[in-house]
Amino acid sequence: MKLQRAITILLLPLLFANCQKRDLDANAAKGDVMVRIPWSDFTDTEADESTQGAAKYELDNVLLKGIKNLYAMSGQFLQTFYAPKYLQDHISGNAPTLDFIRSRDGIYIPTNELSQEAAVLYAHFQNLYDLDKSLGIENLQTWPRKLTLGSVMQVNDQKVMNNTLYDGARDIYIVLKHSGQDFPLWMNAGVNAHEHFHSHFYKLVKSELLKSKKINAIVGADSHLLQEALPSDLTAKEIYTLFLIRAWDEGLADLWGWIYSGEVDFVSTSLPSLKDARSLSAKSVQGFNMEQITKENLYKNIQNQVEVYKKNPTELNSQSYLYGTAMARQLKAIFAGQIWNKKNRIEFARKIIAALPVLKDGLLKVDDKNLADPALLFSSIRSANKLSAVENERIDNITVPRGLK
Amino acid sequence: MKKIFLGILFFAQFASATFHISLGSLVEFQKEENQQSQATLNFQGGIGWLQNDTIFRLEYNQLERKSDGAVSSFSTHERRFILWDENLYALGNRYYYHWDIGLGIAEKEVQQSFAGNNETVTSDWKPLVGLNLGITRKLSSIWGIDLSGRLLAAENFEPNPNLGLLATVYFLF
Repeated sequence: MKLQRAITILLLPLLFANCQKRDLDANAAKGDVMVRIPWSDFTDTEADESTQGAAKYELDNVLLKGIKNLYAMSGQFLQTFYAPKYLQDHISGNAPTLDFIRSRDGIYIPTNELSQEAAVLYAHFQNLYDLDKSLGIENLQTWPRKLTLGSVMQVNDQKVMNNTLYDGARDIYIVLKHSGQDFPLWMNAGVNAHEHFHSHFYKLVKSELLKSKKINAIVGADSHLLQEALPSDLTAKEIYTLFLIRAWDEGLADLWGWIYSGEVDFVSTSLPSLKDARSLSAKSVQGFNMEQITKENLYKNIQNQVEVYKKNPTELNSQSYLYGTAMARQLKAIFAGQIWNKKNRIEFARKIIAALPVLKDGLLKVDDKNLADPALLFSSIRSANKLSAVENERIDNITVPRGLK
Repeated sequence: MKKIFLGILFFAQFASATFHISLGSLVEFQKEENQQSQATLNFQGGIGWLQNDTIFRLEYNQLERKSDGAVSSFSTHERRFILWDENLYALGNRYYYHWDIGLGIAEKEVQQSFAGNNETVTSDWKPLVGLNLGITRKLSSIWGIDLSGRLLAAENFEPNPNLGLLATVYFLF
């Protein structure tokens, strides 16, 4: 007994010492931490038309900077939450519990998919910060950005997974749980940039429109949230505005995905069925008939479908995506042409960002007597930027939107 | 997020007055909110010696967990050596309780598979401590059963310690 007591007395401090040592080791996984994750070195590639910027994802060493706690994946650029409660204007929940092992050469390897997912997302938001910084808009957002993992949405008694969205009211990205064997959305560089653009659009366009009550909360909400029936008292004009703002937001977000990833078909990497509908490639033919796009035509079409859209908002959603993609293809053809390199893509991004406050001002001028014009986005880009003669000519030569002429 | 490790250890001990050998396997159920529950079969073995009322036992654990994602899969192997210091206290005629403390080392090996490539990485050996609490029911002069709860904490391996429920059948000769 005496021996046991003596050993116990000797070992107990070691138990606590070990706990302390674990904390010390967690400290080692702070600051700049090298992780081994699926990655594509797309951001520095000089893609051309022949490759369409197709990304090749493979295991690679990626340095995560500014890490505060690797096991909760929080740091300078991202703070993650696991399946939190979504309260009215904020979320309440805990960080995920992640697991990595440290290799003998100091590289952290995720041991499960959630840990891999969190590390990949951190790496993307770190790079998206760099993109914002190169455009001088890094202070537009609050860093670290907040992101939720592992949630399953309940819509009309159905569980929704395999989607990502940006929630402007709570200023968070929601990465829903992944299921199935398709390439996960969270691993897709372009998809992450797409969602990040929504936060730019929300802050530069939607938030002030919401404050001035030019648009209602539904219009301000992320499009993906719009899957239940629309309020019955929504007017045709409100639905028209909803359609147009959503189309701009989604189309520009797709362009942002391409600007960041260099991948024209990044949507179809994860959602193959949308290849024709969402590809930014000029060769893609499926999409909205831009020849028909005038303010009057659009409004007439929506007036005829008001009741359908109210009962089935996903139909309205689909139409706005189609128009958004068609518009995005036009913009890419006008401003980016066939030049695919990263420098030019960033210059293109600069033009888009400069146009958003002008677009917002244009929308603020819309009153009960008139409708927002589909051409407003093009004219906003033109007035916010000093365009080259070629770019001006390309805008003048496009047949649509006719309202611009 | 909570991790629950519920282990049932089928564990036979053969002990003489001075020598002790054990062999068993652990079925570990891991339930995490982010992953489907999974059961893994693990190997465990040990040798030990008795000194007065104390058993010093060197135990070896080998654990394997697999986790499949959409495009990635993970296979983790963990190996542990633990030196347990155990002692039994009588609780009446047939019952005993014991609390044991262990010190050891552990290493982990993870295989991350993605896009047709498998990469295996091994960590350094890391220190480990264990605390084991149990109740033993002696059923005859040569055998009995034991129910134990175990807490293991290995540096940098599991953010939460393992909590296991161990059912042991032992034989005394």
